[in-house]
Amino acid sequence: MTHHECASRLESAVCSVVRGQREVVRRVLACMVSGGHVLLEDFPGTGKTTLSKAVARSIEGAEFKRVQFTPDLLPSDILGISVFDPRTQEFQFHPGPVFTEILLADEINRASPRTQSALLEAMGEGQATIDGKRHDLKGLFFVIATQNPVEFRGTYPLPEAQMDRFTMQCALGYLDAGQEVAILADQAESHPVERLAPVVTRDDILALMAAARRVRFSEELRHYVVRLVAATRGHAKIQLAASPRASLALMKVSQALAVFEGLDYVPPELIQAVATDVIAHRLLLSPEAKYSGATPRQVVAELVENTPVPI
Amino acid sequence: MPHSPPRLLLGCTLLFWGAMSGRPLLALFMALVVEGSHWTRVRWDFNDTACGRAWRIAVAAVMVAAVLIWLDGNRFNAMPVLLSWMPLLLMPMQFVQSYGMRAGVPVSELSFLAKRRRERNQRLGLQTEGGEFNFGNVLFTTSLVAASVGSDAYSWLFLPGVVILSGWMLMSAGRARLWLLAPVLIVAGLLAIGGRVVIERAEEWLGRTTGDSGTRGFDPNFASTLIGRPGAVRQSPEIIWRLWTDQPGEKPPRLLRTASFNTFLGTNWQNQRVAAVDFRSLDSRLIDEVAYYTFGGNAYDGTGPPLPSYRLRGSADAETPLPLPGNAAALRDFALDDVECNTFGTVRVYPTQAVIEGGILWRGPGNPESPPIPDEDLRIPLAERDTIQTTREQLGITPDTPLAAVLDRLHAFFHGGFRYTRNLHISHSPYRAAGPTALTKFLESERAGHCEYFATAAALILRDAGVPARYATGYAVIERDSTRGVHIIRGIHGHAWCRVWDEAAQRWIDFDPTPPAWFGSLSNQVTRGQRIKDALQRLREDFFIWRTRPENRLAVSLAMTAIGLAVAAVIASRLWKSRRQIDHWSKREKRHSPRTPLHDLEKPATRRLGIRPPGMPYAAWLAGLRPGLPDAAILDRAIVLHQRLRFDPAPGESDAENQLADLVRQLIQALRSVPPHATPAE
Repeated sequence: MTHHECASRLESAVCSVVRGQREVVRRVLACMVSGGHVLLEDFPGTGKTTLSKAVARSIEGAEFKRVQFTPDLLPSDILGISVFDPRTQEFQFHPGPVFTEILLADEINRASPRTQSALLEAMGEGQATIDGKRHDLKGLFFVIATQNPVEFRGTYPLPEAQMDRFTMQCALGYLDAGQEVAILADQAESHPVERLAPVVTRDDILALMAAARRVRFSEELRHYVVRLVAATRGHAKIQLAASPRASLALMKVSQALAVFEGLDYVPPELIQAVATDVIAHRLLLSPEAKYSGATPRQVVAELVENTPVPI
Repeated sequence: MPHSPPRLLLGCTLLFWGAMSGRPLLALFMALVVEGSHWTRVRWDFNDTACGRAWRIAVAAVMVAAVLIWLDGNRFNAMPVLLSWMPLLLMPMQFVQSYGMRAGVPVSELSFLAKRRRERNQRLGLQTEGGEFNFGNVLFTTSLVAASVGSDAYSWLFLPGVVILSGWMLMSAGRARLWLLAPVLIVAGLLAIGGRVVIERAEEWLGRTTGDSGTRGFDPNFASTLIGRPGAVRQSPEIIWRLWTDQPGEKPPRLLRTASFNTFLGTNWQNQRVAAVDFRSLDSRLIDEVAYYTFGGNAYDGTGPPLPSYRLRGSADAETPLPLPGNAAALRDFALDDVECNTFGTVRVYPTQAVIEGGILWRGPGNPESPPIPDEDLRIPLAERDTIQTTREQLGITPDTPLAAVLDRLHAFFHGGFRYTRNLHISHSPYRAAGPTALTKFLESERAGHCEYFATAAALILRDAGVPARYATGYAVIERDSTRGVHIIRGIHGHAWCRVWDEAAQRWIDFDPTPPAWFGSLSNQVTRGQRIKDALQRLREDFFIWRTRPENRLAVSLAMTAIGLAVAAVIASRLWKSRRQIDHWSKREKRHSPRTPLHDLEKPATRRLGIRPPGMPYAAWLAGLRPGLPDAAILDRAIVLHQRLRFDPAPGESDAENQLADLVRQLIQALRSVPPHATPAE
């Protein structure tokens, strides 16, 4: 099985559950293959949790955990805790849900910033330091966080540093009527995600990740990526611009997307396809732009439109 | 996306404007600038602030142009002149529109109120609608309006031009439906005719309301009077001329005539013998290296005792009558193309500039007015004869009474028993049979009127006494600005009096029968607002004269050029800097980007698809050709090869370039065989 076949199989499996969202599914999977993490921001009931469950179920041997973020959640509830064992007279470490391979952080903005920040190190460096001791996470560590854009009461917007740790932010959006009817039909007896059998193994995913890293990326396009990200700096509408982490993420995700496209090099179209998802959530708009109705996604779309692309 | 004028329409409209306003080269340049944006890739990333800045530059240009036009003396047609320059003045905005990267300019940057509203909404955290419009539409409309006030807008080209251009615009806005063409063209034609009429009316109205100087309302052969027309006498309080004497302490002439008339028609005066009133140019001569215009006969030649003189300054255009004393000797130092005089002594000028200044010598040997015409200057209308004769007899004037005694008696008669009023009550009856004439009522019952009554009555009484007399119109010099030592002539100083032939001296003399009370009735007519207008007018005329003096002309033109160049340099340098950033990338692109044979497809594709937006990948753009190609698979294959050659650092296949070149040849051939309109534009 080639890498492209493997990627297609995974994509088809997830799409069989998450109807009519092939593009988003592909980008989310590319994000996983690139070694990143995704933040799904959308209205309730649009399939965020289903998507993450479908991804987890499609991969054989991948450990999946889910944390429902609530205001009273503590960092130790995520990272784990050392408990004193009177029998052995030693502290015993009980790992938290972060020690998994696919982590669904549901409604992440409902927890306090302190708890949200517990994920920082894990997402950024693939490790967790608890009681001064470093614990490495597994080779595959993919966080799918979800948040609801319309509810603000009792929520804590994610800190900028935390937002920057997310490789991508996607939205699923509402489906058309035909797709929604298909979902009703799918779930007549049981939820399709429960019927979903694994199609690839955990090792396949690790191989896909290695293959994505080997996808060729021309020097010229590296300049293009940097130009695109640098355009956010000094922009009149942007208060906080994208960091070099954004350039890195843009390159990696477009490489991973190339695997799904069956390419061993990256054309500029793939960079543009993920640019908005990768850059927009890292930006903080200036108050003037924000109150005149501009959104970061619009601003990035404008930048993509106006930055000369290599032809 | 705001509707934009179709390609070439703006260029054609600007050329039309150039043709109608007599500025073809400027229009060609502007059209090239506007349409050039479709053929060049140079662009600027103009944001809201830049749009606002361009708008402010355009507004500043309009204001500066308005001031310059006003300073230049075009008081009467300042608005049409300003309108006719509008396309040029709005070019900064069109530049931002044509060479910017956005589809329209934001409304909020153009209007102070919209900007305030946006700022208020931002402060209150409300969302604002960012409305945009394409400035090309504004330029299109402005150019048509400007063309309709242009100097050549009466040519046969105007109507078809407006109809075609408007029709073109309306068709493009209405998504091109052929059956709409006829109604659209009819609407465009009606708009053109209606617009032209509205503009003509507006010009007339503006001309009427902005003053009564210049030639407007002046006919050297006809003087309309208010005799027999009840109502108030209305005259403009605006300053028409200013004059000051060359020698301090010297007094200027009291009456300055613009025209004389010898035939009274019951209400109006006129000169009937047109052949006798033809104008001819005055003789000019150099006396002490100063240009003089002198009047015929024993004209002033610079010899003899120095004559009293005064200087006159005011706005003038072609055929403006100069107010001169009855015994004017010469004009000196005026910048004129020509100056003419008729046998009735009306002197009119053709100035080289909008504001003229020069000296007038008087009490000289020459006289602008020819001797009387025996029949004409003694004629009394039949309807008035009885009253005039009765009045003359009452005064005891006979044909033998010496002229001085006649004038004394008339003076005493009018100053004693008559009252000056500007509120007239006498209505006219043309024939005695239908009731007494206005003049009869004035002499016999009312005994009150304004200068036209006095001058007419006195002239006719004098004629009845056998003294040739004429009715003269002009101005009385009665207002003095003591702080500046200048005498001021306003519209309200317009006056009428008699010219009386002194047989002994063989010359015409002024005789003013109006009681001097009329001066007093004018004092309250100059309001504070008028004083401000006076100050502005004085400023304008003085600046104009200062600017046109030879010693200042060079300095003014140097200063204006320096300011213009400095502003242009600042704008150009800023544009250059921002352009270079884009150019920098494109150069870098060219240096680093290897070409593939597919790049040869760019030109034919541009012809079909328009210029590729800078952020649009080449492959996605070329995909637009697919619907017009007989075999789209060739294009797909070519794109794959191109992408690999361009973006894969290790492309592998060695003959990929040859394969691609082959495919591109096929594609170009296929495109040649398919007409361009077979491919959708977007």
